[in-house]
Amino acid sequence: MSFSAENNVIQVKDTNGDVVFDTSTPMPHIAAVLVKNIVHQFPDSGDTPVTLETKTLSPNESSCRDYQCNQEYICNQEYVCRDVYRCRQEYVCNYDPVSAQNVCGYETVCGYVEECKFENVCGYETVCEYVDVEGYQTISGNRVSAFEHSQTYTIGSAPAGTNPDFILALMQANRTVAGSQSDFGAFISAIPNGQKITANGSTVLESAFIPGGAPWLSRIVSVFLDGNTVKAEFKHSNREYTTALTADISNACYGFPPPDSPPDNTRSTWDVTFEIYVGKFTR
Amino acid sequence: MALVGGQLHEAQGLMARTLHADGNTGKVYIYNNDADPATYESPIGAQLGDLHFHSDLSYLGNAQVIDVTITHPQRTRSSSTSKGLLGSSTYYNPRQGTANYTLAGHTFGQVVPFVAFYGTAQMPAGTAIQRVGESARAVSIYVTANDVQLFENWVTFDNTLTAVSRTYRVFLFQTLFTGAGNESIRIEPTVFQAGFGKLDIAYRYFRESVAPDFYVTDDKTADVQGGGLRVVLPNGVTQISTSTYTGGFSGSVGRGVKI
Repeated sequence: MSFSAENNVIQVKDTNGDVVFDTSTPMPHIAAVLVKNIVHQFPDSGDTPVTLETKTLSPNESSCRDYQCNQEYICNQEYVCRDVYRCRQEYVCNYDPVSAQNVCGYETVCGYVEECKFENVCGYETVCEYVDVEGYQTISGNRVSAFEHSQTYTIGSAPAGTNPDFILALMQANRTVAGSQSDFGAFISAIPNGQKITANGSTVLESAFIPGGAPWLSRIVSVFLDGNTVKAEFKHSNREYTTALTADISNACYGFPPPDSPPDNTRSTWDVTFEIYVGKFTR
Repeated sequence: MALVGGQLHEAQGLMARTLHADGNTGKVYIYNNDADPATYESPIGAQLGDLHFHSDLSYLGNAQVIDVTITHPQRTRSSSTSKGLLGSSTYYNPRQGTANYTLAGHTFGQVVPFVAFYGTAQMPAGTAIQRVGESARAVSIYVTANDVQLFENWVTFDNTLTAVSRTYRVFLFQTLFTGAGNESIRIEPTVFQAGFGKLDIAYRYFRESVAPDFYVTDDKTADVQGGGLRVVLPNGVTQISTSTYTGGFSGSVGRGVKI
């Protein structure tokens, strides 16, 4: 160990000769320790169901039936009975009491008789029936609206006049509500719930990625100094995102149905306790 | 040179340094001028900037540095696929999991402040350390009362995350906020203590340096815009700027410190 005071420098070295303290290199002190709990809800970005694709379905696959009526010329064999007035010659004998003998001769006998027979009856008729017809299919997805969001909270302040230089931050975070997307589920977060992590500067809270690519949604929390005051900013950003892997199908028989897809619940809630060490260097 | 109950001045140049130890109050302080020590007996406001050390103030003393290389195991994509409803594409069903790794133990008995490096960068917690397609592995370092842990959250889609080794460095700091014992200042061949233990060669203290071990900052180190992310480390280096980032965040350079 050595203690030296020379050339305007006071220096202390340990038993290994390593510098422990040196006035030529400013050494900060901790001016304040601030503890603050903040519950922040990242709001929902908003959704719109959109049509991804439309298809016309064949009658066989549509399950659609139509009640159709047509005028048709139809002939039917019908058994028809009619009363017909007929006359016929009949040989008739009648007893004549005057002459006391039969008087015979032909007489014309007329009358209505019923005649029945099969006839071909034809005519125009209205014929109605259910028939399989084409249908209409809409494949829908959900489109998350582009959204930017930021909210800043005050954690606390160092004593007046401190004019601090830096902060060391610990953060104990719990994601009590996890936002999600239909394609990939809950947003990806590497924050261990309830554990104390370092939170100097900014911390990535959660992200969501486009298939095979960059994040389309990012959320961070930043701890920073604003004069004597320590603040925390929760910031969210997402670009427009349309579901790529999941879709909803709607069928209809009379035209393409409007898009219909359940929304993604992008709302997350973070319960964060900050433990902030506010540092001040020697000038 | 005077020690206990006196003061020591180094004033050969333009900027004097004074070590003062008060025989009555026991306060010890080192400041950057030759003003009357009474000026700094109970410093406030701008006086704080003149102090190199003061037994009334609180300090962080680095007591442990951890360097650990972790081999993160392979995370194999799902063997099952689902068929997309559009076109003829198929995709592997997502798999997701978490893991914890103990980086090292410590003896503080409580959670203490720390600074963490992910690889060689002073990255924010929650940063992805591996990306293959949309499959990703992100980590955070956290401290418990007894050890330093690494939390991993991984998710696979169409790609397997191959095993990968990453080196982590963690600086753990003892909080020297309350004096201990009754020794104002003590100097022996193997001991230097002042301020009731707050200044002690058992620790390493932050010292501003142009060849720093790490940086401290008062500013944000990341921004999100257009759905994307940009991370500018406290040394001013842009570490991550995703293709989807549309903002103009340039970050700021913190103060480099050596311990």
